[in-house]
Amino acid sequence: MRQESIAGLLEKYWQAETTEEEERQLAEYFRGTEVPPEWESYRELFSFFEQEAQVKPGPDLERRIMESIRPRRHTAWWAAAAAIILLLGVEPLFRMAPEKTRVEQTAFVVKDTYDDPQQALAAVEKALFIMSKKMNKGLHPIK
Amino acid sequence: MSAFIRKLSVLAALLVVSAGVFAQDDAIGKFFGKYVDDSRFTIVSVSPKMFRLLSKVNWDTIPSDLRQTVTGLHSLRILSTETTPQQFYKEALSRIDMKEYEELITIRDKQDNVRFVIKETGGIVHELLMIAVDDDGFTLMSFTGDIDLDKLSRLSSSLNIKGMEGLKNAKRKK
Repeated sequence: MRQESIAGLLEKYWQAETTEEEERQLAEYFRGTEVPPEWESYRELFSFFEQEAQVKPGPDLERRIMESIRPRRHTAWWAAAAAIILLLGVEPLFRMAPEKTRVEQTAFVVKDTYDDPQQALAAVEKALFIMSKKMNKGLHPIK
Repeated sequence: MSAFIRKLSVLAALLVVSAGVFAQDDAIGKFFGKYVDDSRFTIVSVSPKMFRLLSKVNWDTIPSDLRQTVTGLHSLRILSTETTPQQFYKEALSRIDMKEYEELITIRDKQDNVRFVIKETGGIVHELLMIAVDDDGFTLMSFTGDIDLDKLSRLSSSLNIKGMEGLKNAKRKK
């Protein structure tokens, strides 16, 4: 093959415009013995590509991939443990919450003693004064 | 991963603790609930709803100290009885969770045996509870809301003797 046409192919090759057929021609040319010394580096490059293309995956490649992507058993255990701990932590909240509202309800299920706000206020006043009086007894026992 | 687990466990522990706090809530509610239908007890209850209605009352004749105190309140519950007051006093004391309530005043003399306990967070008193036994019997009185203890203690000094007598009678009647 003529050196100029190879030079043209190389040009195309670097532009990534060569066809598979042209690349095969290039590879064949550089496998040959008539490669000029200034293209020695290209020869090495193409022979390297050729060599690498021969490399086949080892027989256990698939197994190794599957091994590394399979969910590991102890990871699952950690997740389960975390979920249990979390549930244990949260569960009383669910259990307590309704209980609390129930307690509050029983506390306030006690019907309003008064329907009339005026009377209710009077009762509140009385209660406040009773408390206040007792408090003062505690705060100023000598009097 | 293990650091994550550790964080989770701490979180879980915190949740358990907070749930415990919830569970202890409202010993008074339980005490009240138990004796609500007990004919030996007299019950006075002013609900939060009624407290909101209080704003419709004519406040003109009401002293400002009292008005301010009442405005902060949320609810009032009184439970009283003349039957075996000492026994109920002891029962009430044993039922009040002192982890939750803080002791404020204790009075013990010939006529009176009174405990004031408060529930306080961040300097604000949310509940003032009086557990008392005197000649009138056993009284459990609980105010909730935003309670100003200073104002409350001053209320009685602004009250005349005649008013006090009226109060005592009124309380007995109810």
